[in-house]
This record gives sequence, structure tokens and C-alpha cells, in this order.
Amino acid sequence: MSPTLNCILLIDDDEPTNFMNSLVLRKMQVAAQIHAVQSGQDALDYLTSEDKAQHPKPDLIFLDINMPGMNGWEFLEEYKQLDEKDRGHVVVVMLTTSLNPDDRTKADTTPNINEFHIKPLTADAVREVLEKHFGNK
Amino acid sequence: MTQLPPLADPAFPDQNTSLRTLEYTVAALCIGVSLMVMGGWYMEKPAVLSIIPGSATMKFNSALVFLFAGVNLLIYRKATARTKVASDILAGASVLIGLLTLAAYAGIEIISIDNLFVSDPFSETNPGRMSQATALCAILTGLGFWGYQHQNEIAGHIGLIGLKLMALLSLISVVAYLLLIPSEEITSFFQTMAIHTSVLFLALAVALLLRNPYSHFRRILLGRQAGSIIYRKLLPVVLLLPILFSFMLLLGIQKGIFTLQFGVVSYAVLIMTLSLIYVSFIALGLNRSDRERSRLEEDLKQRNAQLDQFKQGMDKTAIVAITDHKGVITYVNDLFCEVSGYAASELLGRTHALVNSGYHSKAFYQNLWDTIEKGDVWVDEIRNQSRDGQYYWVHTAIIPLSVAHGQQSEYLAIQHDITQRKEAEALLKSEYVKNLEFKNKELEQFVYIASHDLQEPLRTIIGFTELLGKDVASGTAENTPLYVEYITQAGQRMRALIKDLLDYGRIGRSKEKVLVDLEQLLSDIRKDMNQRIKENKAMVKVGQLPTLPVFETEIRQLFQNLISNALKFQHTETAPVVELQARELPGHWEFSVADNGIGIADQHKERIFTIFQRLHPKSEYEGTGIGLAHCRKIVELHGGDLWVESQTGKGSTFYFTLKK
Repeated sequence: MSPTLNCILLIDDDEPTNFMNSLVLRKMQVAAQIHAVQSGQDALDYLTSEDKAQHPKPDLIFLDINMPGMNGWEFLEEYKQLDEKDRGHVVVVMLTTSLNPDDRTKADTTPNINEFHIKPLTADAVREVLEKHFGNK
Repeated sequence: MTQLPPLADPAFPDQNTSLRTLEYTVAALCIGVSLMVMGGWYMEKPAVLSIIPGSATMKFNSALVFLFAGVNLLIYRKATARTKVASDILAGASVLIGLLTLAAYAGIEIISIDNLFVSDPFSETNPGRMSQATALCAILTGLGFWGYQHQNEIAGHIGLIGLKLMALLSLISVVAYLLLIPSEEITSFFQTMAIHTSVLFLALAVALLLRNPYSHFRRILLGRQAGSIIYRKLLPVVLLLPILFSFMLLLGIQKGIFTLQFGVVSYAVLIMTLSLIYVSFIALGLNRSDRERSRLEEDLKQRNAQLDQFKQGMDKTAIVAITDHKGVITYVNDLFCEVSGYAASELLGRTHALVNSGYHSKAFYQNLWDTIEKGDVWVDEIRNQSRDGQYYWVHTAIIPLSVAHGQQSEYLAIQHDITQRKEAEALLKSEYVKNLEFKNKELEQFVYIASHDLQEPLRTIIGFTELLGKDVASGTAENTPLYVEYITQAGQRMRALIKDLLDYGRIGRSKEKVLVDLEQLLSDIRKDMNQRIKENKAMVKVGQLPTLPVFETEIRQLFQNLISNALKFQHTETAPVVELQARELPGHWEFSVADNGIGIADQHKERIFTIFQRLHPKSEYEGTGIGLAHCRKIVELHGGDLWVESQTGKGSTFYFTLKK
């Protein structure tokens, strides 16, 4: 499978998790670039950055819900306020270990969330997302 | 003196109207005829005086009596002092005329009134003098008015007897005229009573009898009961049939159509037959209505029986009381006594104030009365107090019972004991339930945390162990030290989380409260933390603190956590200043721990108290995020509150309260 996406952004406060997810994505070679940030604020800074060479607009965002400070939900609130150019056609996939059914309901009814996945991120899950939202066969 | 029946029965206004019409008609007739006759005397027109040529004339004095009577009929019922005097004078005048005339017949000539006003050129004997019957009727007319006007029993009864006698006398005269029997042939008593005289006296007698309060005539004639209905049906037949047949009998005998004997026999048989046929018809109708009445009675009985069953059912399930219009209890059922603890004899004659618990406002009861006095049903819940002081709640409906016209209303109270429901409702609002709800929330959080926070390090361990395995298999060792470090960190984190969870669960499990000198406690804590305070170049100021009954270990942990947090969440370049104060408030002490640290954003002021919730990446500030959750649990254990006021970048002040 050749890289179809330009950039994927990973948002998770847990460094090992970011490392692991990057590894999975890199192995699949689905994106030219993979960036990982450790907080919602860092992600916002990334998205609004003027330096698009260093911080290219992501085609796909994997977002964790449970993070210290700004959590996944709060990030989405801020994300909604962003300029159209900073958001682009990004698909936000919630990655969480949460078994809380409330979170699932909330994810299903939030317009910016296209997918809801339970950690860990697997190659199969990535393939599914790509097929669904980017027409990869 | 007996109670007089009401003169005008308010329940039957149509009767009064028809009576009035009758009186006005009779009055008009009296006045009209008397004026005509008086005119006839002045102008000497015998046609108006006797009507039937050759028969007796109505004398001027008789006309005068009818004029008085006519006027009297118009005014005698208006009960003003003036009309009473006028009525008495008019009645007295006719009595006087009658008495003087009778005296003249007896040969006692006091004042000759026969031709006082006009002279009588037509009568052969006693010209100008009315007949004895007329004179008597004149006296009786006066007495009839008196009997009405002076409402005492004797006058009333005398008037009544007089009126009946007058009716009888005039009836004889009228019948005689109807049967064309010359008055001379009856008795000299009636000799000179004219036809219009007798008719007017009869009409007067009927009108006055109908008004006389002692007469049953009116009640019978105008009543609505079966007897009155039959009376009215029989009356025309009883009056007309004999007159009609007597007329035919006399005619037949005079013309020689049949003999006297045959005539009398036929008369008797015809009267009997026709009366029987008519009475039979009436009887049939009466039987029919009687059957209808029996059916209604049966229906009523059945409904009564149903009502009885209804009541029995209600008595078994509801607390029932009936009060009069003032709220005085006139009936209570057994359940009322059972629930209130009072005997029926103690409740009857009293009001519901006996079971009033003083719980509801005056406005509450005012609304109750306003509603039922309007005739509406009032429904609400009332807290009452039984005899032994116990409170009980009753769902209450008060129904104003409809009563006959003019009577005071009664109220029916139907109540159901809802004490258990009310207690359950009160329990739901209680501290106990709130506490349970809190515990439940806490428990839910535990499950959530177990699912999330404990899984995260576990997943890391499994993930990197797998990678490590692959590396070993492929012989690459490039990332091995990193993987091992990740695995170790995750394992340590997991251990820390589990320890924290256990600690959290253990809060408040132990011992009892003891009196602790908090100033002494803080001095100990400072000694323990001395190393850290020095390292941070921090200043910790402690104000005056009270001695309170607390769980010592937990309170020590509370202060330690708060001071530790204040030292931890600091700007790197600033020296931490922590200030601990206490102030006494009614019922409790309020403590504050203020710092000059990084502060907390508004949207995070609640989340910091949730277990394992952190605001900062582990790389910036270490910890599992359980410290403030511990603090809150400890404060709540002591029945207090914990909250924070903060400005981002300038510092935070944590407040908590402890009961005295």
C-alpha cells in the first residue's frame, strides 16, 4: 500500500502510546508524515501554526479523550472554533480506553467525530478508517 | 299562639300571581258594579238595579258595601300602618251598615240609613233596605277583612267562619237564581238579595278565603299534591252537575214532562252514574300515578341501598368526617378515630383544629375555606397530629354537600393516610440518601477509573512486550532499552495507581474522632516536610488554629496534601509562599490554604477533585492525580465542603470547612 495521505496527527498525553501508534502507522506506510503531540493545546498550536512546512495540515487526526488539562472533548470545542483553513477535511478519530457508555453516545452525536475506536490502534482499524473516509482499496 | 303559615309562599310565585289577578278582578268587579248601581239609583234606572226584571234590586247601601270591599281588596294586603287603618275603617263601615240594617229589621231604629243617600221608589216593602242576608253578608265581609288584617288566631278564625257562612249564603242565593226559583219562595231571609249582590258576595268570599291564613282552602285548591289535583278535577263536576240536573229536574216537573217522583229518581240515578263514571276515571289516573310513584320509590330504595354499600366501602378505605358550615364535626367514621387516636365522642362537636399539627400556614386554611365556601371541592395534602402527638399525612378532598334552599351547608371530608409515602419522600431528600447517592457516584467512578486509568499502563506493557518479542525474534536490539523503560514506567505507574486506589478506599475506615490540636498537628507536618520546604526555598505561614474532633490520620493527610500541592504547582522562578488560616463561623471552622503558584483555570476547578484527573502532563508535574480526590473525601467524611478560588498564574486558595 502506497502512502495515500500526506500527514497524520496523533494527540495523546501518553508518550509510549504515541510511540506505539506512530510505529503502527509507519509500518503501514499510509502517510508521508506522522506527527505526535502530547496535549490538546499542543495540537491547537500545531494546527494554527503558520509554518506549514514544519507543520503540514493533517489529513487525519487520532485524538485521545482522557488527557490532563484540556481533554479530548475540550479540544473538540476549541477545534470547532478554528478557521476552515486550519481544519480542512480532517477526520477526527477518537482513540480511547474508555468503556464509559456515555462517552460513546457523546462521540456518536458530536459532528466532528467520524470514528470511535478503542485503544490500542491496530493496522486493521487504520485500514478500516482509510477505506471508509479516503476510498482506499 | 300558633305559628302563622306564610301568607305568600315564596316557593310558589305563580300561585301568588294568579291569586293577585283573582283579587284584582274581584276588586274591579265590586267597584265597577257598585258604581254602576249607585249611578242607577241616582238616575233611577231599574234595569241595572235588579238585572232580572221584577226581581230584587241591589240597594244603594249594598253597593256602598261592595265599593268599600273592592277598595279594601286593593289595599288590605299592603302592610303599612296607613293601609291597615284605611282597611279597618272600610271593613268597619260595612259592618256598621250591616248592623244598623239588622237592627232596623229587629225594630230598633237607631239611625235610619235605608234611604240615607237615595230614595227607593221601586221596592214595595222596606224600600231602600237591603235584605237580612245581605246585611249579614256585609257584616261578615268586614269580619273577613279584619280576620286577615289582625293576625291573631281568634280574629282569624272568626273571620274564617264568617267567610264560610257568607260563601254559603251567597251560594244559596246564586243557585236559586240559576234555577230560576223566585227568591220569595225560598225564605224571607233572602227576599231582596239581588243577583249581582249574591254573585259579588260569593266572589268576595272566595277571594278572601283564599287569602285567609287559617283557611286550608287555598292549600287544597292550589296545592301540588295528589289530593289537590283530585280536588281541582272534582270541583267543577261537584259544582256544576247538581245545578245542571236540578235545573233540568225543575224544568221537567214544571213543564209536566215527568212526574216529581220520576224526576227525583232519575235525578238521583243520573247524578250517581255520572259521578261514578267521572270518579272512576280519576281513580284510574290516580292508580296509574300511584304505580309510577311506587316504581320511583323502589328505584329510590335501590339507590339508597347502593349508596349504603358505597358508604360501607368508603368507610373501610377512607378517613371520613362530616362537618357543619362552621367546621364543627358532626360525623366521623371508625378509621378517622383509629388514625387520629381520638374517640368519636371526643371529636363530635369539635373542629379539625383538634388534629391540627401547626404545620400549614393560615393562608393554606384560608384557601381551603374560600374554596369550599364557593361550593368547589378542595383537594390537597394535610399534615395532622394524632392524640399521642404523632404526625400523619392525609390526602384530603373536602366536598361541600348540596343542601335544600335556605339551609346551612355541610362539608364532607374524605381522607387517605399517605404518611408512608410522605416519609419515603422525606427520606429521598435526606442526608442519608444524599450520602448514598454520593457513594454510588464514587463507585461508578471507581469502575470507570479501573477501566481507563489502569488499562492504559497495562496496554503499554502488553504492546511493548510484543514489540520486544518481535525484536528478539528478528535479532534487532536498536529500541530495546526504550521499550524496557516504557514497560518499567508503566509498571511503576500501575503500582502507584493501585496503591492510591487502596488508600482512597481506606479513608475513614478506621477509628473514631479524637480531639486534635491542629496547631500542634501543623507544627508536626512542617517538621516532616522541612526538607522539601527548604529545597523549594518556600515560606509556610500558619495562623492560629483551633482544637477540633477529627480523624487524626486523615486530617494530617489533608493538610499535607494541600501544602504539598501548594509547593508543587509553582512557577519555577518564584519562591513559594503558603499561608494557612482558620476562621470561626457559626457551627464550623473555615480553613484556607493560599499559595502564589500557577493557579487553576475556571473550567478545571471541579475536575481537579475527581480521582486521577490531572491538569498537566506527567512530564511537567508528576503524580497520579489522586491528591485532591483524597482531600475532598476526607473533608466530606467530616461533613464539610472543599472548594478552590484561583486566578491563573497568580495562585490558588483552597478552602474547606470542619464542623465544631
